[in-house]
Amino acid sequence: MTSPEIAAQLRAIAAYGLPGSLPAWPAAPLDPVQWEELVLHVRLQRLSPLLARAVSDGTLPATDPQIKEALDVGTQALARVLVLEATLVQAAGLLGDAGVAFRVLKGPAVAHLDYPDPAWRDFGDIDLLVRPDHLELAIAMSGRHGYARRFPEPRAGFDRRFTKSVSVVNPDGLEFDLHRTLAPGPLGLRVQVDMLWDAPPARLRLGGRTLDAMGPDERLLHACYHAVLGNSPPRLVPLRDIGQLLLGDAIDPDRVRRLAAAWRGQAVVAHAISTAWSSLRLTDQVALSTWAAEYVPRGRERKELARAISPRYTFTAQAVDAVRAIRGPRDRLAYLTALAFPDRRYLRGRHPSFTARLRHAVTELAGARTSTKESHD
Amino acid sequence: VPATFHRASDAVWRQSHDGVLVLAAPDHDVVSLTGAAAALWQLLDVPRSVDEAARALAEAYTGAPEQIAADLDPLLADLVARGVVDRVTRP
Repeated sequence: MTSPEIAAQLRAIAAYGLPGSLPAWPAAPLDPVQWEELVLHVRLQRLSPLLARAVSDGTLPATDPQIKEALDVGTQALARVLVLEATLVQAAGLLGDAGVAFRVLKGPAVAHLDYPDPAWRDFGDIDLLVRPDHLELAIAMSGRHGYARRFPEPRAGFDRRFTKSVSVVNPDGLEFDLHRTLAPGPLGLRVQVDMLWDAPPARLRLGGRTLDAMGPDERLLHACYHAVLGNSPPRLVPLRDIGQLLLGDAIDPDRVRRLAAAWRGQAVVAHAISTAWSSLRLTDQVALSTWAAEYVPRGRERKELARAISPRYTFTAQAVDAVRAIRGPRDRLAYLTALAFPDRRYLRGRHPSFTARLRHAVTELAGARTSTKESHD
Repeated sequence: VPATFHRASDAVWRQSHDGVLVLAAPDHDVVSLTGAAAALWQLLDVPRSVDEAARALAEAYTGAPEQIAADLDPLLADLVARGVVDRVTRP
């Protein structure tokens, strides 16, 4: 739990350098107890590079030892990011040589394409969007280089058709998320993945390679989905990404709205943008922040958003909701069969029998429904 | 013909608060360059001989180019050994 004073400081740090933000910086350095709490949460929220910037230029008043500590944690974050990027460069070579089509997502993409300096953006893993029909090959290639799936596939073909992403990790703890789509549950299944691949990529130079990323509109939409569906309450870094993208000049607001409408994700996108504007205390209005403030979700959309932002919206509840988003009875049946009767390997360490899984699912769903009701009230 | 040096093409790097952090590969150590070493890194975005780098650094740092070149030799050897700088011998 974060104290209100420290929560305000964290939001100010997350908004550091954004035009039009009204951060509540303290007039004097924080006392040692508050500082310790701040640094702890800065690390957890991956805001270390922004804290280092804020204290080194005097924006956030700090004592000399506090400045030294902030610079140290900022440098540690940069070093960790470099290890991830060097890993990305290696993986890009392996996947590219194998003919796997991919786009760099999230941290490295926005760091190099959207932030004033890539050193401002911390991240903790590597996310790649992989063409669904290349996902199996990408996982196999990862396996040949020491990466193992975190979780087995429920049934053959599930990943290619339905999964949000597959996490692979190596013995050193380096992790890749190989994404089929941009979000979990029904919202992710409604993302028209072909549209992501048909759009022209953005390009970034990294470690002597040119890597493809999604274009700015898709990067913004992904940040919105990630902010709202990734954590409740949203983490500050994706909110910062939203502000960073929208206060730049690369976004086409009409196209963003069209894509959000095509994926029936307007409520999520509007909620994410409004949350970014309120959390980061942004005062400069742009077309999409005005749209988001005025957007009123209706009926099923409102209920879906309430469920999605509930901290008790479990994996099981998402999985059940996802059924409605799957088109065609054959695909729905395949999805349900995979979850009801998964392969034996998938069950290892999980609920072993169908009855146990059903009982677990019912318990989780009851919790999710209660929570949704609470959020409506 | 003198050898030239430039940033290793697969190295990744970031500007830090007091210089530059560079990494050649995930299983290598991160190299921290500060002061003149960070300035050298900036110069090596294009291939340069030791003398060319020394002359450029002499404009920013006090010291004769010959002395700076002598100091650069072991530094460049170390950076090459760490994989963050490539040494190219012109044919």
